[in-house]
Amino acid sequence: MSLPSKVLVANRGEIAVRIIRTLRRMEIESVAVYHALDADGRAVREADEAVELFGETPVGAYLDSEAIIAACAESGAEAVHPGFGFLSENADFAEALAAAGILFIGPPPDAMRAMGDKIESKRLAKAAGVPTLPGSEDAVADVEEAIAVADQIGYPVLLKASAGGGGKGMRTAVDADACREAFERASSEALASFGDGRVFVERFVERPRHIEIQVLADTHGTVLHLGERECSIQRRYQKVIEESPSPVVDEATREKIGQTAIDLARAVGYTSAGTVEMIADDDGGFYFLEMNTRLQVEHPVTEAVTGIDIVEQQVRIAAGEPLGFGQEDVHFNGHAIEARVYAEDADAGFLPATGRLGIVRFPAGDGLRIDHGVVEGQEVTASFDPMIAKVIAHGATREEAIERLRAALAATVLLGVITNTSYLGRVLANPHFKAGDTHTGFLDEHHDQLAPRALDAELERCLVAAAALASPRFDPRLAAPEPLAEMGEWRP
Amino acid sequence: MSRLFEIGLDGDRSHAVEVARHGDSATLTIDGRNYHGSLRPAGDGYELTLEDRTERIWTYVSGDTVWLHGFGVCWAMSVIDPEKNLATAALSGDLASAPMPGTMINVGVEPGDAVAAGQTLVVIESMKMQSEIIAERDGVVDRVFVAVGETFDRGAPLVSLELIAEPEED
Repeated sequence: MSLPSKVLVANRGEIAVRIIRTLRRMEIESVAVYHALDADGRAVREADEAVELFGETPVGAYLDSEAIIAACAESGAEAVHPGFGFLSENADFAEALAAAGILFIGPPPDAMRAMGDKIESKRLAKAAGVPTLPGSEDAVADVEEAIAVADQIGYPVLLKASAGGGGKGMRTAVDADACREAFERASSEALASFGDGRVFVERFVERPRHIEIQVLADTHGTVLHLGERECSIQRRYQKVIEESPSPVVDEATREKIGQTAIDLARAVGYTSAGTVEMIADDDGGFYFLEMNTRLQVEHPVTEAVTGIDIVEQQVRIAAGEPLGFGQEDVHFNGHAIEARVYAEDADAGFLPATGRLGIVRFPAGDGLRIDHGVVEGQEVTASFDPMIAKVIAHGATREEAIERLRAALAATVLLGVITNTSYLGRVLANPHFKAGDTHTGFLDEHHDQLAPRALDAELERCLVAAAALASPRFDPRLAAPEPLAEMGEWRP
Repeated sequence: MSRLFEIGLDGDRSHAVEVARHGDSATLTIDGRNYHGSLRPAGDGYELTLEDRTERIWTYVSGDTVWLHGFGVCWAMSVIDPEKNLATAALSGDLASAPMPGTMINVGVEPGDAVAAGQTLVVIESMKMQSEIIAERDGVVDRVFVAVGETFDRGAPLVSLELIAEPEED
């Protein structure tokens, strides 16, 4: 089987651009799909060709599997890379592509289904020898069973929706009364969000680290791990800063948890790139959380330290090529950290922000990689995920990576929309972060320390002067204001 | 000398500013004290000089908001005309619109309420700054478009007043 000559990228924004770049390097033609809101976007500009999608909502356009299959027929694409989000973990989509004679660049549908359900995947992980947290074997039937399980494993406990994700349908409980309430809230939230109200109970780990293993598996029986990533810095259950290696994982631990991830991938007949997510407690215990059957947002930190292009490997594996290297060929070089730039007001509860990006400037430099999908003049709307860029810094040590990333964020100029670049800089400068003392509650715990510092009077005066000199309000030649400046004013 | 404007930093602290231009430099009066300054294109951005200090900055002006990148941080500065009180703005007599993206903090009226010109309709928060949206004319509230806690884009309708019926022609 040879590589496809043309691949459709069923995604948008920075990840579509990133996939297109690897395709171009592999001399494979790329097809972008886009909703009208993204017509002038960077993905459409960089792809060899582009096909418009129409949907009832902008997100709906990217979820329309029939339209995407039709776009393959129209453009002659032989394969589809789904990126992450949207259709990337949709087994029905993968099967529909296969039925249409189109290659899905991802794992087999059966493996996606097995890992898509939290209860089923936990059962499979346990059977494969991956450590799991003590808890109910199956969904609990009712409140009384939830309390019985909780009494047995000990409080605090976590109630989790089987179909859950993104923190929805997840509640902690410290005693039986709280468990009663948590069960009701978790199951009704899960039913409303996922149409599946099944809930299971497991031990709650306090101050856990989120640590995940990247695996690569080909169709010839080779399964490798590419080390771990730590993604403990999260807000609202969404990762904000990710790094590889984890400050707390040594070589022996890496081998041990890497091998459990390999065992699980083998047990479910996995191929392509996948990620086994685990939580780590203070005592050095690692427990299975879930397996993501797709490319991860934070894959660049693994690429930086291993030198392996994960998207390229996904394409080769889908085309039936064997991995051209073994576990002994995977080397870990230095330290890489990624910061996700979101259009949001981090100092106002991470409120999403919208507006027109009037100025866009990204820095370049040693060890720096910027994955972004925005162009100057672009509207940032509430229609899509608020992530607009990823800034990744690689250094010989964790300290060097932190310093390079801080400098890069300070040199990232995004004007017209509130973004979290300076907040990310403050997280990186925090002494607890520098010390590697991280856990998933880090941003809440250090909330006050992460607030912006007051400017000294001279710097503030410089900003005020710059604003006055830049504003047309002060210019007598522009006494009749431009229409935009007039918006929001009283009119006679 | 231009009129005096208030410039707020990220909606917090406010400074009274006047500008007198001479060629490509200017005398800025900030909170009653004079400073010599200039803003000149440099590279892909600008060079700000204030007295003996020079800084590289980037700027993007959008209406009454001046976005600035300086000292490694992005700032949203609001330029407010104290006479016109731009922050308490309505787009027209019949419809109060959002002067900038934000969140609804308080809704003081409901459909059917009679309101007088100058009365506060709703309070919004943008960039941590709360602004009252006030009625431009006397009238009756027709609709409230955004509930407390909801976010909206710039220009989004917030409150409309019932149209005043034109006298019918015979």
